[in-house]
Amino acid sequence: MDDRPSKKRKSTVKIPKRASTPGNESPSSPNLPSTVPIPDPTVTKPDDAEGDIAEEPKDDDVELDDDIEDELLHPRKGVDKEAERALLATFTQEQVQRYEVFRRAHFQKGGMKKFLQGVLGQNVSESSAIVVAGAAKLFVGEMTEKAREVMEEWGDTGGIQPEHLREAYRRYKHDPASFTPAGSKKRLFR
Amino acid sequence: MRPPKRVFTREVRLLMYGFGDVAHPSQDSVELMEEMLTTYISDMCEKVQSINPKPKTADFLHVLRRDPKKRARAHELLALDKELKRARTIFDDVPEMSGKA
Repeated sequence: MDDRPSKKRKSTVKIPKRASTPGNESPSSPNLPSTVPIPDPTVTKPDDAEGDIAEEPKDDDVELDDDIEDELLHPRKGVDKEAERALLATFTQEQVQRYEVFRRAHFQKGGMKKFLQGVLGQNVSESSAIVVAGAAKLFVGEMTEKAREVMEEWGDTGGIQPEHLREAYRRYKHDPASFTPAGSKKRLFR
Repeated sequence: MRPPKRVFTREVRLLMYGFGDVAHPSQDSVELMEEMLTTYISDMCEKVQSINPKPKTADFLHVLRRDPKKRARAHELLALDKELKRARTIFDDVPEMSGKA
């Protein structure tokens, strides 16, 4: 594979990505009404503001975590509905469709609970299932986005192929910023 | 004990589209993604169980502590769920009370 991501290719790849980005911060609302505001348009603003105010040394892991969490949580409270609507208005038909799927699709609490109980061999509370279901949706999102990046680098177009996913997963595991659950380093996919 | 395989296929396919794949993701990719996902969840469970043999929600959150995005999202979902439950109990209380009375 040669890496010659021409401008043209880039743009073709970016289109679906753009549709996906708005939700990066707000995915997976299982069973929740769509009253949940979409933070994307505002996310950048609090981001900047936070960065200006909190210019703290990054040695402190906990501090940093809290900062990021704040950034992620804050936009919800005062979400700019106007900006949200303005953004949606710029979407193409295809992007709107994708966005709808992105907002609606989620892992059911019940299914996740059953799955967890199967893995753990014991009862699991519903709220645990909610936590895992949210993480699971984000995981799928991260993998899909990474696979898209890989495709762009390799100059591939069309749908995501298993090799792209494998590469994305490999990178995910080696990314120190990512949460790598115990054992996943030893595990190899067939 | 392994749970039944391929229980999330439908959601995974939808989510892949939602997050940027083509409208009809390749079957192979969906299957691989689902396997990656189930591995991810199983690994998470393993870790959770190593902290607490009888995992509580807090233990799941604890395991996610280094992933701010997922952790924040989890907190958000829990808060929303709480709110929904509260709203539901308010509605449920009314007929119950009238039934008792």
